[in-house]
Amino acid sequence: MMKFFFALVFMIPLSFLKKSFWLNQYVYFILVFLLFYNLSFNYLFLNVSYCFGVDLLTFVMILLSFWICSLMILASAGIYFKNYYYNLFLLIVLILLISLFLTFISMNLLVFYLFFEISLIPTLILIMGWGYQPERLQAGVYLLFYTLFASLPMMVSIFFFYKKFFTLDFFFFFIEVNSFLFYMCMNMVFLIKMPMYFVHLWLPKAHVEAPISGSMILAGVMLKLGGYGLMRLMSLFLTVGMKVNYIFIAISMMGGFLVSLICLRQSDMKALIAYSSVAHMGLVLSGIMTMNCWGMCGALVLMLAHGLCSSGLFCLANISYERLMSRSLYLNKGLLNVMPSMSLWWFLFTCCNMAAPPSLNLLGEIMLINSLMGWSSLCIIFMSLISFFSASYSLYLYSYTQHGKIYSGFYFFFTGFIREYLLLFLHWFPLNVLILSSEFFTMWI
Amino acid sequence: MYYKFIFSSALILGTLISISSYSWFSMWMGLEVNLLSIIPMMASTKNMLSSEATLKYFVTQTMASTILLFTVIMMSIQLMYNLNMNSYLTLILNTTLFTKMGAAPFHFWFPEVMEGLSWINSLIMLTWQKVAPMILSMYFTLNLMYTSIIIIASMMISGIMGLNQTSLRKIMSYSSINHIGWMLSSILITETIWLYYFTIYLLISINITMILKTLNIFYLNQLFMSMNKSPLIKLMFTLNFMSLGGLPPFIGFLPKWLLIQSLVSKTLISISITMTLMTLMTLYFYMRLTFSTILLEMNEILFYSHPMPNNTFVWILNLTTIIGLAFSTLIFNFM
Repeated sequence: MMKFFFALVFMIPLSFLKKSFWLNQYVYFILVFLLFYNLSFNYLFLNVSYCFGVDLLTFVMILLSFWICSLMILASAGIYFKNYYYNLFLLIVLILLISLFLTFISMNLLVFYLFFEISLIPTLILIMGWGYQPERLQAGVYLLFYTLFASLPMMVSIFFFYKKFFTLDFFFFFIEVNSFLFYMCMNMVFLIKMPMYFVHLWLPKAHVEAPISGSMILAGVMLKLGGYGLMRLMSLFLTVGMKVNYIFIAISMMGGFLVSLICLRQSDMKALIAYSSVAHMGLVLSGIMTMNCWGMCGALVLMLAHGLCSSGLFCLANISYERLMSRSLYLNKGLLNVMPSMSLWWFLFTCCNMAAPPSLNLLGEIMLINSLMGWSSLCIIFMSLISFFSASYSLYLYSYTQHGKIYSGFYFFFTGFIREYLLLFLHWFPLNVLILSSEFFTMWI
Repeated sequence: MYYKFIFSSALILGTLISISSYSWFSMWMGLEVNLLSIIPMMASTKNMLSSEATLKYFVTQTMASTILLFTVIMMSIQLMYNLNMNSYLTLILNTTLFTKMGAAPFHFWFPEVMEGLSWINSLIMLTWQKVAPMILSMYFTLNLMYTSIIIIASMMISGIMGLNQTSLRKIMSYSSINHIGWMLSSILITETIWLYYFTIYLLISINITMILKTLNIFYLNQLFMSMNKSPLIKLMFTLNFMSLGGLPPFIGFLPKWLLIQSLVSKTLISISITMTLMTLMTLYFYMRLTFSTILLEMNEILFYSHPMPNNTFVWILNLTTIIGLAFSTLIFNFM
């Protein structure tokens, strides 16, 4: 995997080149293409060099990060057209991708933690630098301090773990630690990153203030860091997990339901999508917390599906925003009248968000329903409520934006660019076609 | 101006006398030489505040030195009978050294003295003046309980007091109080880590103060207007503050990493968690300094040009502090 690392490092000068916006984007796609050559259906760490290696779980994650980062550049063409520090933007995206890549491929908990923390800074710069309102300051501070508040105790507990067990390699994580305090210190940062209900407040704030690229990377990859970390660490906590995991399952199931209700009364498109990701990540979290095979695999599938789907929805919201200069659902009405082709994409993505058949979301939800039902049959209550309300808020988003009379306050409108259709297609295609090879996501355990 | 050369060499000499002597009396003497040689360097005819700062610094340091001398004499009387280093006199000895380095709750002179100094003098005050008291406090066993209280007080007070400051010198001095807390905890366990910590803190401090000196910036709002010509250089400069706060991709994380690891290996877990969480408060006011940069376009006044710092200088120093963590393992080749 060092070849990809060096490819990324040597792209740093490329991002300073004038007019190199699309060149950078092509290189990202070429890297995705090259990454596919390394595909292997193996649950063991392959391509090991230094403390980096790739197993199937990692592979899925780095594929997602490369994909989302290339689509981020495709989506933020506005920065290039307005000449708004696009070289700096390319540099920040590149640093973000490097840190995410190294986070996912590290086989050592401390290295993982280090790059996990590093990925926070470019995200922060992305949100604060290219966001729209002055409130982005507050959003950035929320993002930083929510994460850091929990991650510093994690660092202490990593060293404690090293002192006790003399290893931090994921490969040796079959040691059982039966301590609730240790469990909380290790996992709280991932719970905040996911985000679990109760500690999710930074997410809607960050999303409504972030530029499109920031929203895409947050929804697409940053939330998945939390799930990835929990998946890696859950094998340490088998004993204590049996005792306390029900708390987190209960919080995230109940929270998923409540957040779905909150979605139904949003008037901001991005806030709605952000809250819907809290609900979906609640499902992922409870799937991981059941610690059974269905749950783990379903969590991975739903993470991938949610990464593509909600990133695509954010793109759609941004496409409307660039035309109407508003994200309000009261102004974004009747878009079917002016952009009928874009309406198709709205339909397809909201369908995926409500887990309609050909999408990965459906597979993920079915697997998580299996897992949670196997864990406790009482879960069916909240599971069905979450499923139902996710359908209703997706429909709410779709019908409010597409149907009805068009807002009379704007006089001209430009329809979708080919770039935007390409962007949406590249989100949608893997989301609905990958289900044909879904064994790919179940073989990593 | 030539007198400054004499006094600065005497300043260095004083510290070196003090840290390399093997009797308490010559340690005291070195401290006094150090103090007496920084006083004329601090005084400036151009600035009214500097004489106040000089006076305050002189009074507090002399008081601390006097108590130090007094304690040493008392101890030498006592030590004739028993070799008890854990007596209450050691606590007083600790306290004098903590006062000299400006650890909270003996810190009250520190921000006020800093407020009246130029950036060069501030740099001396932030870094070199800490060397002698810190190394002297390595020479006897610190009382764990007492030092822990001092550490946590430094962390809390610097975190809270720094929040509403707008003067960069005061912010730097409160950040220094915070770092004193970290360095005291490294003195408690491993002196080598103190060396790493101090060196890296010195590096970041030099970087920040030198650029602020070049641009003649003393207050927070002046940062908004400066270096707007090149956002990349400004970003690199302000990332130094995050480095000072100890965020991972920067070199400032390295000493904290080493220190937390050795604290945890000595099972001082609760104090290390407390320290890391208290540092978040200081991180908040470092963040406030970076806001002007990270919000890329706050105000753009094209006709008003500030001087830019020398590019090569900025790049070399800033790259050292920013990507230094990646190359930090090279240090071990030389040690």
